[in-house]
Amino acid sequence: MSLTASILSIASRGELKVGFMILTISLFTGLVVAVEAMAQSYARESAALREISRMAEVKVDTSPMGGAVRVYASTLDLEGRTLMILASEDPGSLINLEGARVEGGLPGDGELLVGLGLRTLAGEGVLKIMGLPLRVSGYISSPAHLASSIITTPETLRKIGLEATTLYYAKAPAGAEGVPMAEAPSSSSLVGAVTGEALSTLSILGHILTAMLAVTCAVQGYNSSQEGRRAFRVYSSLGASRRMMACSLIILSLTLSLAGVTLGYALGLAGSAIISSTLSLALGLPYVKPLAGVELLRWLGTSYALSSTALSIGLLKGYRVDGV
Amino acid sequence: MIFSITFLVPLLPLLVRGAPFIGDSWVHMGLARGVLASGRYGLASYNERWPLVNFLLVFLSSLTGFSELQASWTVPLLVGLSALPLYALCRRLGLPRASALVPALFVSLNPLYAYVTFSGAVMKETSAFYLAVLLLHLASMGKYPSVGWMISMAVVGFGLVLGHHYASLVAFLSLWAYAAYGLFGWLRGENPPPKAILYAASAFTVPFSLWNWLNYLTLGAFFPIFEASDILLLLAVFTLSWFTLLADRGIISRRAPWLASSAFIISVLGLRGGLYIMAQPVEPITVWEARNYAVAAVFSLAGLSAGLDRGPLRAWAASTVSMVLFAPLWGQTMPGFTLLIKALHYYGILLAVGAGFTASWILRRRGGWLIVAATLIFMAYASSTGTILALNGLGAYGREEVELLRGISFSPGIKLYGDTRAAYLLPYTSNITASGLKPLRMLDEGSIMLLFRPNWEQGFLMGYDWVAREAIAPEDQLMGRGRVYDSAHLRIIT
Repeated sequence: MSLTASILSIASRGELKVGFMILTISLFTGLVVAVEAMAQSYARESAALREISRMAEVKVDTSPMGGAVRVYASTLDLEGRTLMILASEDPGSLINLEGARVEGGLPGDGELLVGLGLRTLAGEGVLKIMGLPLRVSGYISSPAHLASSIITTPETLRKIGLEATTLYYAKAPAGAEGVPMAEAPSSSSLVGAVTGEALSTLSILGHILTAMLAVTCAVQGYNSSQEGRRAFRVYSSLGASRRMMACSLIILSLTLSLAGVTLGYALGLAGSAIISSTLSLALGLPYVKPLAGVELLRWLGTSYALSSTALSIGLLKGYRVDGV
Repeated sequence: MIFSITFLVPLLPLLVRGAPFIGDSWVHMGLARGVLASGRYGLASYNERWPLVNFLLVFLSSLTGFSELQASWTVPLLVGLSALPLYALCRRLGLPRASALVPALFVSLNPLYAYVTFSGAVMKETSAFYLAVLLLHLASMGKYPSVGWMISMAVVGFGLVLGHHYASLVAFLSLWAYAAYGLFGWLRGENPPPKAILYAASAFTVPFSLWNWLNYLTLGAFFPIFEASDILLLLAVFTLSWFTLLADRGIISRRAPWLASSAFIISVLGLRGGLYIMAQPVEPITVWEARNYAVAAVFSLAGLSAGLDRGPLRAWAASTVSMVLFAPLWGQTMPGFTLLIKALHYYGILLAVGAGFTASWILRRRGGWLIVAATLIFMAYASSTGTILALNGLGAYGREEVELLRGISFSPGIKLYGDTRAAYLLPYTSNITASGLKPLRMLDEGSIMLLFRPNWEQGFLMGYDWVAREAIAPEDQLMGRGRVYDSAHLRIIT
């Protein structure tokens, strides 16, 4: 135990090139974590696209239904974006139907409730539509399919001067299949296929990165053993058996891998969140929060297992070559 | 005199307006009154699951015979009293007497945010604040543990767990950060094995995990807006923050706490820079405000690196900086802003101790006391604007409002509308609930709307969002409506 503590102590002072080893493990792990977390996050966002084409929770029809909310729907081109604008006498009911989360108040006359994705267009709480300045009463923060939508009152829609289609929104019966209002190009099958394809490509990238991590760890472990051969000789001369040394080196590799993977996890997850947040502020893109889930933990486990094994092999191999 | 200021600032809402700050206060006072009347305590709702503040009010009311409103004075008083463990902590960290007084003052006069909005409230987090500072002080004594120390840690830690989820999360992270720094120092041969703090962190983890897990099972959430993924993201940010303070020298080391400085910038951006998407319009930051922030940043951050040599402060920095950084990463909407405000309460302590170290350096120079005194006077001036605004803002209640509402009896079954202020106060004064906020033009026949003076002067609160007065009750519509009650502080409109 004291031998292991001594070796760990040497390592903690930055000897045996542990800094490089931890840096390597953390960088590779960080890359894998960032790719995986962002991919999962985008995959979750893409689910919202599927909702656009097939949403079973809300039934939409052109004929009146019992308990339905009358909605005047129109589209609008604003600064190169095509937006959906929905007007209802009772915006509160429409929001409830959509299960939307709203930051702020409901729109009154001359006011708009704006999707979160359009916040950059609403300077100082005012959105200009067709030259008409309209006050933003609040923002719709979820669901994602309303990110580029505007909810307002019929009076405001008339003031804007847009032609609209009258639709009736009602709660769909439990288990009902939604009637697709639009199938192509954002049909659920296409979105699902593209997402799946992207995820599998990124998964291959993750595997390549972990394989590279294993090889690098083995080489660095070998070099580190070579670096520490004098110290190892001292321990041997003090009576440490080869078995004890091997055991200590394995514990060292397990500890270093744990430190590297933990740091990599922090770098990858926090780094991708910081980059996405900064881009969101600088370029007005939506902030995509990296999603850390079970899949990510699986990748972390793989990185840890591979790096610690490769590092152990490298350290032991280097120690044996030295012939101590 | 310094301690009298630190005791006085949290009591300002009660002294100036005659009522505690923020609506949550009425919920806890209502709960305490219910417990005093029935003798039973339920653990059903969110505000009952962290019961420290409720227990405190009930205990003091039954002990002294005071009403729960009078007993509520003790909560801001306790926040003020946290200046004492803060002073003791600073002395333990090696600050001379005069410099150790500076942090206590800086916490109360921090121009970064209006401290009174937190300290003057009667809520879970406020009641746990004293314990958070005390735990930090006790942790700093961990090198010389005694039976008394262990008992104190256990009592304070348990109180914190029962006090507030966010405060206990900060304590949890700080204790483990301290233990991890201690372990690393031990491996490097710099200090003995940190057994006491490891035991303390482990012991704290048990009730912290169990209590929050139980609450998660009951309420369906540990923290109302946290998902499992958010906790993993927080841990990632915390690990990064911990790591940046690990080394002794270099660009990424405790000598260059750039993450703590970044947290200050993020706080300013969050408060004034439009980092968050909110309904409330934020006035562009003026040169004078930027000057106030700059002075506060230089005074608090310049000496921080000297203090970060001490393990407890470094651990506190790792956890509180990560909480500030996490707030905008959680999301750029209102709940993210709430997280930032919460984080600032604890980050404020770090800044204050940093200010103590800066003051210590300045005081060693000739005429240093003059510079420190001038800076502190400037802090008082810079923070006074925010404090005055808060005391007259939508979150502040007045004695008159409470008394007026108590004097009015509402018919059972009447539909009553009002903003968040009314929604919090009505169940306490009149035992009825408001049906939310509605524009005056959409008011149903037979229903009434409650308007407090700040409503017709400043606007309305919907949740924590500001809504313009014109959107709810424009002057022309207000004039055209019937008034059931009209006074200088309260109007009831039909």
